[in-house]
Amino acid sequence: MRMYLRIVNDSIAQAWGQMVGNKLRTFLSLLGITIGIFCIISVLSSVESLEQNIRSSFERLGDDVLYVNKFPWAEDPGMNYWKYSRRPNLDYSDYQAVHTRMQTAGSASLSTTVGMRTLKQGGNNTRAFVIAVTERYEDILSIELEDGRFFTLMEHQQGTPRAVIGYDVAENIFVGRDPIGQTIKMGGLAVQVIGIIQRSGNDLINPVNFDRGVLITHNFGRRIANLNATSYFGTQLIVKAGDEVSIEDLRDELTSTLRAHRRLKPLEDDNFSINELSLLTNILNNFFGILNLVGIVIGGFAILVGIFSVANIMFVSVRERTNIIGIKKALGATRSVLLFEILLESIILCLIGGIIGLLFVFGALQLIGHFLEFEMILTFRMIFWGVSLSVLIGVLSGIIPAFVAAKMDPVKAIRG
Amino acid sequence: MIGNKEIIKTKDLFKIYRMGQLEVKALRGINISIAKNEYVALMGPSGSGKSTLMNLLGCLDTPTRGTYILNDYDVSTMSDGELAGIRNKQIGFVFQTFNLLPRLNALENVALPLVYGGASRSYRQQRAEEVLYQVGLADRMDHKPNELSGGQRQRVAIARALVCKPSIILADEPTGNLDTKTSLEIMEIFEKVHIDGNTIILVTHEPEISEHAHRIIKLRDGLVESDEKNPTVKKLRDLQVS
Repeated sequence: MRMYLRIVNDSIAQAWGQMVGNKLRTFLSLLGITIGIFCIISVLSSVESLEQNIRSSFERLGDDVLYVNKFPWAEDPGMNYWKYSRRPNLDYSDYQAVHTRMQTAGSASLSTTVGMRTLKQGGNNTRAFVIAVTERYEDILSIELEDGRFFTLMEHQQGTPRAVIGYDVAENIFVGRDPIGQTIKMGGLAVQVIGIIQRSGNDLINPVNFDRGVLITHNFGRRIANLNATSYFGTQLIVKAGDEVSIEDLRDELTSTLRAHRRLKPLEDDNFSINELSLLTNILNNFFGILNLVGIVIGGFAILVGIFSVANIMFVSVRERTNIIGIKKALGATRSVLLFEILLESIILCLIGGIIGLLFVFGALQLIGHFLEFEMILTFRMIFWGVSLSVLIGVLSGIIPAFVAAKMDPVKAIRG
Repeated sequence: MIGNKEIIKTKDLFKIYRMGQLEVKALRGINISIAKNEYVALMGPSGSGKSTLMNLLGCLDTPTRGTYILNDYDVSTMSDGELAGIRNKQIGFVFQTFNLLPRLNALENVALPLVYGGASRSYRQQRAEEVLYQVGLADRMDHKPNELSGGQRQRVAIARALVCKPSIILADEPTGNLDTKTSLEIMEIFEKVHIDGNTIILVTHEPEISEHAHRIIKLRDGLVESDEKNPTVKKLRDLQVS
């Protein structure tokens, strides 16, 4: 054990001497390792950060919710575009069918996109995305309020002109004043603000970002727009499973309920698509998988070049030290001691290259994070991977030179 | 010397090198026996096989045929790893070109064999200081080889050879790179080392160096030509003391 500690010391000194003695050569050789580690770890870290961000947004929505649309999410519409677009919009009667007939549904809500509308208040005006919703929408999508309240059942039923507005909308038209209870003008109608939705911030992809949106009740929406004539992506029926109901059971009952309601014959295809978030996450997984692969391939080639150049340094280093290796053998150093010594030197060189790479990754992530206003993190796991990879590269590039050194004939080696 | 334990015993030692079709018999049956605390000079012209014999005696190489018993170990059949252990424990090398490690100071150079032997740090320190003191370099312990004179470097090398208390000290032309005065200094140290009870094998082609040994073995064409006591051992310490 002591012997190995001594050798560790010695190898660090050798590696250091190698670096200081041949700065340019070492720099060029380590560049490959540094670039490789940089590519791989920076891509993996960026993807991990993005994924983290997106997944946390998705997680809030829960995995027990189904979304009924005209178009399926996880399919390129290309071929079937016309087929899908000819389907009837989801409407209030679909919602009522689901709402009243289904056993497995815990709650359901219909949301209809009314579109961009201008809101006016005092001298200020702003454009906001208006969505008309039925009851329970806020529960299913876990929408949190900054202030105020959501619509009451009464307001839903009577279509009272009330609005729950997004954080940015509130900022834009009330500029610091308290919006609750105030009246805004929407398409000539006076609407009372009853709640403000919490800020979502700068999440990259967030399906529930209402910062620039306004929610109104479905029945009020009918007064300002024809909700049955909206564009194809505008309506969505959201169904959340009841307690201890599996998503499969929910999907089955939802399908049969909608088919029955729409009076589809047994051989007819569904004229609606039932989507779930896992479909989206599958697409994202593929996307991130490709991104990761690109990073690994590019970084892999850089590392391959790095392995050859470090192996080359190690060969030169072993050749230069032939005499010393011979002396050590004469003094009783075994093959394994010499093998360990050379291997360790190579590992140390690669670790230095890898750690420089990791420092660059850290810097790059900070920079990207700063510009995107989005948290980019270099996790401990990634650092661990980077370091392990460097060690592996060190072993790969040092193993052959180390064997060459260990197998030298002491008689010839001492002569140099 | 009679009654002293036999340290080295070789029987029909052959070393044959193959160079393509050509077979070169460097050693053609060497039979020698060296007892503990002998001071032997191994002489011979170049091509006589003395370097080959020294490599075999130093366990740096293995014989093609024959047996070599070193301090009761049959080293002629040992594996590479076992030989490394034998070199570490049983043999102290002194080379013509000193062969110190340039990056280590005198003390670290001397302690290196102990590192491979697995000795504790405190013992290494203490033992290395002890032998450096013996060769008169107590004040140069932290000097790197390039800060030492040729004679001082060779003394460090002798200290390194002694540090593991080996069975034999194998010195290959130890004065070959030194001037006459320094050579005498080194030979004086060998004499002292011999008096301390060590077994020394001195490989040389210079008659004036071999005169210090008590027994001279001459090789020629891979065979022992003569093996006799040196009737006129040159003593240096007496001269110095007077």
